[in-house]
Amino acid sequence: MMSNTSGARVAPSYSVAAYRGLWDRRAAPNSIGAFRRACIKGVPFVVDLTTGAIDHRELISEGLFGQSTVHVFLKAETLDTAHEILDGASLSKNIHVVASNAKNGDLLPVFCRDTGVSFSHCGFYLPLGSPNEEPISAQGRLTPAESEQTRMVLHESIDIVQDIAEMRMYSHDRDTAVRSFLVGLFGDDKHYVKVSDLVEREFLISQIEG
Amino acid sequence: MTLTEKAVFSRREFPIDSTVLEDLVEKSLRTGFRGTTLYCGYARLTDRLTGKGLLAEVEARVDGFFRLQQRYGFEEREAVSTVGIRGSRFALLIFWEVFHVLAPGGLWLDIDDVGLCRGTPLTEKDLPDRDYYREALTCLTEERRGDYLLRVYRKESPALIGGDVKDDGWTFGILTAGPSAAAAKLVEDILELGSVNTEVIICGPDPGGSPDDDRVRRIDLDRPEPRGWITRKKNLIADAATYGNLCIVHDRFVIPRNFFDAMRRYGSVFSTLTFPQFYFPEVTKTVPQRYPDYQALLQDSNLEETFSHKTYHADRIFHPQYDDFLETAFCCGGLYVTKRSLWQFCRQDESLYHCEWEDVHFGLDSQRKGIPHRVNPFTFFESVNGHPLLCTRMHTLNANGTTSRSLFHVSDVQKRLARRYSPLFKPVVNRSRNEYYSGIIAAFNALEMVDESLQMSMKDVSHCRGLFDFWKEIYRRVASLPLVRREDLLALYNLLTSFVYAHQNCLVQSWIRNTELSLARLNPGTVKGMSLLTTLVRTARSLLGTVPTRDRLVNAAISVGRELLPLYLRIPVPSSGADLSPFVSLLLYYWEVERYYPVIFPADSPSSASSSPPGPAERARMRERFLGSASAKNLVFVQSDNERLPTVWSDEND
Repeated sequence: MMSNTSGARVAPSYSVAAYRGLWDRRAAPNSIGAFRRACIKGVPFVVDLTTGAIDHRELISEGLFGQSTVHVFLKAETLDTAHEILDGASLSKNIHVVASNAKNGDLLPVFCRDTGVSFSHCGFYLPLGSPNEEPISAQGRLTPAESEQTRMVLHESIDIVQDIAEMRMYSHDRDTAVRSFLVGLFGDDKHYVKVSDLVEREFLISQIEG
Repeated sequence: MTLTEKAVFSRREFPIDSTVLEDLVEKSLRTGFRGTTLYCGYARLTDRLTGKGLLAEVEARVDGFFRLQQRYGFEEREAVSTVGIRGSRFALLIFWEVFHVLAPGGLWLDIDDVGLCRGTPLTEKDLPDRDYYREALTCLTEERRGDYLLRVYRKESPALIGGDVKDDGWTFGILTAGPSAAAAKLVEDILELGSVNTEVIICGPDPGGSPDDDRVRRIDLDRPEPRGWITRKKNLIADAATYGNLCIVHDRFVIPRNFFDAMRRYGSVFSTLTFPQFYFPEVTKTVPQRYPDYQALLQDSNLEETFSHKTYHADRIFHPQYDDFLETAFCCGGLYVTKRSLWQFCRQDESLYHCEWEDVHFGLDSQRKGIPHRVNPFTFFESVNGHPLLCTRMHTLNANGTTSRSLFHVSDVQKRLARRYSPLFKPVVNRSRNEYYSGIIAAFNALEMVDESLQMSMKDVSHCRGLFDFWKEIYRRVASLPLVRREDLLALYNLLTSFVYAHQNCLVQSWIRNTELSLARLNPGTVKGMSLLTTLVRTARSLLGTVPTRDRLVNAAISVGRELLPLYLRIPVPSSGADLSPFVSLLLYYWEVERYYPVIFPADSPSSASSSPPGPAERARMRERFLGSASAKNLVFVQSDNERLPTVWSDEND
């Protein structure tokens, strides 16, 4: 586990983040209930604002961006879009922005709010990508500064696919291959976060395998 | 003699040389120890040590019921010594007991294998370093001699529970979720126990019908929480409690009339306790059936991570005997007896809700901090409900450390009662058949993927009488549903979590993923065979454990298959090739339940059997036979000091 510049641990307990909140039978995926449940249980989560399925105002009014319990990865089109969305909201240092339009190869930049004032580059986010491509089809051209600044690398698991017909197209060991590739690219001193839609299953597996 | 244990507990020997022990003890006792030191250890003392009157030995057979307070008082000894206790599975209990015997300002000599003083799989903290003891104990000297570590501690301050030990008052907290005749009766019975300093706090909605009495009050959450926020409710009860002794129960119990006698016999210096809990499936109460009262997580690696994730696998939860103990044992969340000060020291984790293994987590948290979870065997609580999933089998932990997965616990006596006295049985389901069927049918019809052609009505189940045939009809339709998205599966499995048991979400997600993978990968041409194989393998795996060897798995699948194949062929096979094992497992379970529980719904009244209960002589014979059953031996009773505990059939408890 690594630390940020202020000494706080990044994603302190988990190497998994919830893709659509910590949904269950009483809290539908991407619902306020699912995000609140993730907060209560201390599980970091992604909020994808690019799909239009989530009303960010609800999350702001619930205080989910101001809480200091878990890390939130806000996926917006650009950092500027994120600024507009978050304008006036109470924000904690736990808020990160994933800029989905600012691709570096397949990698999306992640910005952290370490100082509590402005966002700065701190890592990368690898979307799942299409099933026919290699895990990373075109390796991003990382500048030395970007490599230096990278502390965390997130990658989407194949379990974020929700359409059963589409699942068939992904190799079952893709997650492992992606993880190995990323570690090879960034080194083993970074913090890697698997973005999963089945987080509690992941925990169960880690117990069994332990 | 010193401390001993039954051989079956396989304590690790403490082979210290007697001259080394003499040397270590004598040297230490010369450094400030006064009077006679109470010796509580597994190493045999030499005459030289005992002859000088330096040490007074505790002679006892140690098991989960080990107590020191009754003989040695509370914080009365000026000096104590423990030797070689960490090789015992009961080490934490011994430590707890010795700590509470020692007076503030007293000295404690502890000698043990140095390799065992580095913590346990549960926590890296050695016993004196755990939170409950750490502030109270100061290490004065530490010396390593070969493989042994000697430490002398001084107890700086009284035990945290000291104030509550002197308090003879009791706060009973009852959790409610709505109208509850059982809760009202529980309140009435508690008040009739006759203790002067007693109060009852109901936390939740008014159950209705409870006595109008100054000693009863009600509190509640700020707003209703449909998930069952029992952790919060229990914390609220502890916060509101007037007295130092707490008994927190869910509203499905009958309190025993000898509750206070059992607590007096146990002693006032207790940690977190529960009692044996039994469900009696028929009215003569001949066959006590163990409820998940005292359990243990069987896992000795990766515990830190598991604890931090707060996600536990039901397949790793076992029922030990009541006199057994593990650091990962825990009292069932339905019934706690503890001290208010202990509860405040180690509170329930409010991020966990009903059926989220909040009790496993609480047990691990407590024991990591040094507070053992134990059983008071001197009475039992009757649960008015059976466990919805454990009517026929439960995972059992044997004293020698082996496990019996899915131990079939229905005794021959119960089978006989079911055959001859079926009208005496309680219904498995507490709602009428119509109400039960119609509720599930409505939920099924409300599924998004159930179009008009698949809609069900009560006519479709008019031939059904029980659970197996009804759920088979449901499953017949489930097997033909178009399942294309994850949300379809979530909605589908909600039928089970809403109407059968509120399974943990980690398990539901595993079901969903298994079904998804089967749908995404199976070749429709091999559907039937693959579904059968998957089911058999899964069933065999649940019997054998999570990581069986291939040979064992195959043999078990063949064995399970032989028994279940005829039944399995009566169960519809999904045309899509979907692995819907949770439904199939439920069908197999209900098939078994109906063999031994003759009354399924309240209105059922089997006419072919006697409705008058067996006479006293026959009851006595049946009880005697029950005592010889595997259920009685492995789950219900333990032999302790020539006494069979708990007492189930005394007149008082009848």
